[in-house]
Amino acid sequence: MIRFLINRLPSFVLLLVVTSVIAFALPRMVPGDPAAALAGSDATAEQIEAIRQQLDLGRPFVVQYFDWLGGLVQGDLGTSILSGRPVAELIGDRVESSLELTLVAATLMIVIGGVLGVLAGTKQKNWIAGLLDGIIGLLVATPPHVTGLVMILIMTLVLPYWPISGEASLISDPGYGFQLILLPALALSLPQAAAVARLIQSNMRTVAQMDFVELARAKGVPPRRIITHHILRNSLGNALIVIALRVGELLSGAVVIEAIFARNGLGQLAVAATQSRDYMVVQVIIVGAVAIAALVNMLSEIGLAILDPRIRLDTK
Amino acid sequence: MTVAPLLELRDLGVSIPSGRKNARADIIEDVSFEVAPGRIVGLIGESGSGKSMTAKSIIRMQPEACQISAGQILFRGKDLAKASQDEMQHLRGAEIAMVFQDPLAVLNPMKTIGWQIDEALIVHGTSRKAAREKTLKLLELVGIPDPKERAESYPHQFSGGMRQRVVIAIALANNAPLLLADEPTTALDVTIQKQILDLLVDLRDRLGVAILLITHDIGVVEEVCDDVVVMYGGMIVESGTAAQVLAAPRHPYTAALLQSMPRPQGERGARMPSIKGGPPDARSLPQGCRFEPRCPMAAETCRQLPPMRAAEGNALHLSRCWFETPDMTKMTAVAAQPRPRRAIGKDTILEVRDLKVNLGQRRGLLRPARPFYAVNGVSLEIGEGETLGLVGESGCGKSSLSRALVGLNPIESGTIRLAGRDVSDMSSGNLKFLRHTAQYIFQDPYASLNPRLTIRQTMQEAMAQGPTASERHDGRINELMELVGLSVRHLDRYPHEFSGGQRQRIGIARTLTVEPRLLICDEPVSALDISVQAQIINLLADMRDELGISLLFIAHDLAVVRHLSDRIAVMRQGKIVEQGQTDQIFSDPKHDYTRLLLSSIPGGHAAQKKAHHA
Amino acid sequence: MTDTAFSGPRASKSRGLVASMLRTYASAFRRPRGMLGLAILSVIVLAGLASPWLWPGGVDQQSRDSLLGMSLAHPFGTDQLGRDIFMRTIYAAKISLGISVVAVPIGMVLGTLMGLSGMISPRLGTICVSLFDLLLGFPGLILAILIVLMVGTGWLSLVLTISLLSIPQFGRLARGAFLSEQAREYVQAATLLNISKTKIMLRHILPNTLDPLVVQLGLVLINGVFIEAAISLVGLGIQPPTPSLGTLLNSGIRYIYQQPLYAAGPTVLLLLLALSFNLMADALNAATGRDAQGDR
Repeated sequence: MIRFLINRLPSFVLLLVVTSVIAFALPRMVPGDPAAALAGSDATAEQIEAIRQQLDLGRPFVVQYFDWLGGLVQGDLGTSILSGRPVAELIGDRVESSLELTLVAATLMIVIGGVLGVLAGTKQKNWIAGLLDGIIGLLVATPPHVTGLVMILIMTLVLPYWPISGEASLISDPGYGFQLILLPALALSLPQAAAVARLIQSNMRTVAQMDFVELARAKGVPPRRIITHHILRNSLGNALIVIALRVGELLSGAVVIEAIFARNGLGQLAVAATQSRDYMVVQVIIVGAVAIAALVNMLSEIGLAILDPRIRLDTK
Repeated sequence: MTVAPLLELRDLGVSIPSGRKNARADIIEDVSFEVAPGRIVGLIGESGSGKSMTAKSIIRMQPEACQISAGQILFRGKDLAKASQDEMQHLRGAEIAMVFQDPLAVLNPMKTIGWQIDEALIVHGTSRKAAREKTLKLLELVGIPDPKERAESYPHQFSGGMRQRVVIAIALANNAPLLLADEPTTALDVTIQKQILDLLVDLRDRLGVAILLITHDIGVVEEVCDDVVVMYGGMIVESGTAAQVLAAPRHPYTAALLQSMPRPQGERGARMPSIKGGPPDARSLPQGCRFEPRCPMAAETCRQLPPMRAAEGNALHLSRCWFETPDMTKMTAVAAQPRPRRAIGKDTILEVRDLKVNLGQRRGLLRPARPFYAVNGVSLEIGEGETLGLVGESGCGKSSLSRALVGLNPIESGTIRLAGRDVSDMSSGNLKFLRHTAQYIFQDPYASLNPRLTIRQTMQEAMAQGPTASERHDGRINELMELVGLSVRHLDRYPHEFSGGQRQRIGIARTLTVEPRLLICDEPVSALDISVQAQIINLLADMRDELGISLLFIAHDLAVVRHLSDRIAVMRQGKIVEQGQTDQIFSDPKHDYTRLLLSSIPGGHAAQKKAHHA
Repeated sequence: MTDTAFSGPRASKSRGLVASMLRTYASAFRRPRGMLGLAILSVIVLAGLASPWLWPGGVDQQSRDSLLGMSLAHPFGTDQLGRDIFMRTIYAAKISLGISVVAVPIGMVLGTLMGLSGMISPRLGTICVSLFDLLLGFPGLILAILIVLMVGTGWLSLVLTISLLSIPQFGRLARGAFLSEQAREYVQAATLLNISKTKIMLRHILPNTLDPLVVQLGLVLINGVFIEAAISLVGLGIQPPTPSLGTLLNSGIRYIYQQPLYAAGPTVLLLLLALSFNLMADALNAATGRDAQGDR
């Protein structure tokens, strides 16, 4: 188990190092004055000078990088040049909105994906099977932003008074907050849920063909128990990996969904910072997003290892 | 027979959708036989004969598209063909248990084996605690040491033979009186096969279990069966006690099958008796007798009308043939003709010294490879025109060795001299020489031809590498096709239009394009049916004798190797444990392992054993 | 032992390998699904190509009639600057499709080459696999942001982003097919007959790799259109006033109550394109005899 972790760790670290180096190097590679680049497109001459002083850009690149990295690790995320506010504070303001959206969406993705997948993966009446396949196929083919747009268009026709844009905290105003988060979270989760469902479905069908399921039938195990004890258990391992891969997609999708539903999350912060070239902010968000995606990915592999005795017990 | 049968099939028929709308085609027809308590009934047949389908239909686990279209399946007098799936579910495992072919795949990888045996008991109403007690007893019964500890292990921690014991333990869990064993030893090594067969015999003798043993291996039937049912093309062609059927077969198919099986004590110098053609396709069965197209005795009646199953003389020995007994003079017409045998030359074509092959692989970014010597210091030589048989069980390194000889596996150390030239470094010049001198025949005739290329394209591509002048290519291809027993009109077809035996012929023709002096044959017949196997063995022998090619013949089946080889090398765990003249190896084996292998060959000495049991 | 394992070309006459593959692909468009998909795509593309003649005034022709509803002159109404939405949507589809059509083949070629690079050296092959994993581990929009920071907003960054994101889509397929083909006995048999690596690659490995890649092409193309829409929608892609499906959606969403058709037009077009490409991929899948899901 430990060895398994050690095996996976290098690629995780590598991904983070590569990302952070790229993110850090970007403003310094822009032709011309890196201080001007770092200060953003609308900076004044004084601001640029202040940057030059603050970051001491004359030092070797590697020293600067480790200085910055050390800061990140200690929680010093730097200061936004444009607004003059600490990056940590900017992120802190937005984090609740994004966290709520992705958590609700992730939950929906797992629940909807799981239910659809298991339904489609087990024997159904012909028309139900066809319907499930149709729904899953449709949702898989439509990305979050298009799903979101379609939902908005339908809602404006069917329920014109349902609040669409804006947001409210789920904690301080649960009722209104829930109304507002439902559509974006659904739009964000449905395509991913369908992908998860399709994988569970095809896994279950493959497993159902396997010889050990036949032996279970020959033992006289009832059909329902075959599904719960033999097929499901052997189908969910891969699904876990895919769910994790989908978290990266959720992060991506969230940025667009925030734009469509006018939510002030980290995605909007990232976009705004990119447009105004506020490198100090963008760098942190890039590293953060990649780290989260990679971490979830690694956790899922650990989860898979715990589930599967062939990996868990492989002591070599 | 005085004991009432436990299971009785009456005129069972199974059909599949026939492609056309609503029409169905019978894949099993008119199958009737019985299984009595305390007897092992061998259901024997080649691929596509319907033997597995028959077994699966008994517990109603045939694929969904296959429906029971006729007849009765009487188990203790109750017709299972009409039972509901719910009733069947209670019967399966409790009254009729099944053992499957591939013990590596039939156990759930995610559950402990204890859990899986427990489950067989729990679903039939045993309490959890009682189930575990019984499980431990069962593990002991099937010969698994430390049951308590092993019950907590997962399938991947067991060897193939051990897993088959677990599967048998599951089958025995509820003291089912009837056991259906579908090729239970086919996936196992010969020494393990022996243990499993002994276990089945033990169950019959001690517990009085009735066993229906489905197999394609006549040796297995000779070894353990009391009664035999022979299937061909979805029908029973012959049935009777093992002693009757094996000693005096009445159906020409059975007779031919018995002849074409290589035996550890048969004559060696002669051509193997074989049956022409291949097993019929279930979708296009002959109109008359199913065996007619391949039968040496076929007459006009056989072509038009299917014969009924009839007894003559002995009421229990039934045969479905227009003739009472096979005419042995006609039968042997296709069989043993003596073969000219070339003298073995003095020159050595292949000489291998202390060869080591390391297949250890890197297992991660930071973890260096751990050496794994699949071949660990092997030395052997093959003379001009000689055949060396290389035998060993799975994982012994015989394939790794043969692949290393042609440069498909890396060589760690040692030398390979081919026709006097040292090719061990596998430099590009040496590789070129090697591939013009030695060729390789693969095990799986289905995988060794590119499905997208016609036979002509495949042959032309190979021909371009050979020594034949380009304007002679087409003529040479035609010659080669005739040589391997195919015709020119086959050239423009794609591989999927050929049977396994035909594909293996094409594979052989392809290697002959470069006019090699050594053919390395890696289990060339193990994927083929017995009746076809003999054809390919004969073809290889002819190539050797007519073209003076040397053979390295690799197989797990000692009897097959014996038939073809001048000398035999026995391989185990990457080393050659014994090497010698074929007759010496069989009559006077020196190494314990060779002796174990020889004593594990099923059948053979079984004929006398059978006599007193039947 | 049956012959059902393989269901491939059944042509009785043997002709060139390339010709027979092209015939297989062409046959996909004689299937109802393929035909319908191709028809939808053709209408959209032809309308896009013909737009300079259909609307000689150009896409940026403004008028005082802002945010008009449906009418004969303006089937989808007009936008905040009085421009005809229908015309802009058709024009946008051409731009969005164009970006995808430029970007995806680049990704396809690079990805396929990288996926097959194991042929040259096994080590190179594994390095490419790590690169695929790296690219897949990157959330797509983060990659887009990185590229925008490097080359600025506009079509170039979109093309780069879409190409990069499609590399692993093709690469992993090619790699998988390559690995399974390489282990085939007929490939080994060819090696043992001294047939050159290039020839084995072209005759034995590539053809069997190509089918899934061609099926994938349709799906990745539409994905490219979706990516363009997403990135332009958040404001990091094509910049107004140039219309693309993304930029139209960006403005449309702001006028969702006053002018629902503004957002509806591009959305419907995206859905139609998705339908068209999925139908074609489906038909190709069926024509090449692969039906991974087995659910049709």
